[in-house]
Amino acid sequence: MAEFQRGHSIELKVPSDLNYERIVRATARSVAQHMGFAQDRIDALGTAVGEACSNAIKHGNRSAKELSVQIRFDMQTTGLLVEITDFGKGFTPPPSPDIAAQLTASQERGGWGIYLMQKLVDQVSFHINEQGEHLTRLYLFRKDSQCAKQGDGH
Amino acid sequence: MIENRIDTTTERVNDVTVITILGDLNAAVQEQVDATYAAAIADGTSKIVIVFRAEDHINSAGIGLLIGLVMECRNGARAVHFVHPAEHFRKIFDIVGLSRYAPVFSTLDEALAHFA
Repeated sequence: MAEFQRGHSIELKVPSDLNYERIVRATARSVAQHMGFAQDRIDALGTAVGEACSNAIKHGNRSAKELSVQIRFDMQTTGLLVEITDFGKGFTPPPSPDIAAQLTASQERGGWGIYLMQKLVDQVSFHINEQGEHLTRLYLFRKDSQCAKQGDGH
Repeated sequence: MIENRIDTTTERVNDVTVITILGDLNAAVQEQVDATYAAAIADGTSKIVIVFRAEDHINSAGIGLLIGLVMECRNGARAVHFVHPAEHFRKIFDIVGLSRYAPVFSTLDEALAHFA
């Protein structure tokens, strides 16, 4: 990582309109690219951030355009932390989606967003911050970081 | 404002119906995809290839939409293959298990050869 990036962060604030999700996704990809992540990791982060942002808009803020979603990219020595904040009150994670069940309509179709996030980045967690806002935290470790080697959290 | 729409083309290659989708696949384009599929199967085709562009995004709602298409194909005894040039999305098809029910290829030629 370039020296000037350590400890720096970038923040975006977008209206609760799904049309802005692609701007957030493009920004995530750009930050990861500048940090030197491999292409497959950049692609993975872009999709995961897009899913988290869509959830924040649809479920957290219920697409109320007067509410914004805040996205913070925190460039750390060990990797990239992305925090997506909305005005939701949190949720109970849905059961894992099962494609076989969905193909036979024994499970309602959908529910792939969180599943994809969990499969595509190194850590996913959900929190309520001190202001009572809902926070989705995604972490992409640098492969050479101690956290990645230990499979440890940040 | 950014538009959420797709363009589609449908062509016949021998006995295979090839649907090409241009644009991001998400919940906003469900009706367009459904209409394209309905028109494509009107002639009774039993082999379908759905082709995406490398630069177009498929989100989780788009995955759900594709699961619906695969379900429709299975219910109608139609075989369906997907073509996505981007390795990332072929990986996502694997992650969700879609590739277990509809083979995924990186080129149309590969998909057509698999049908031959």
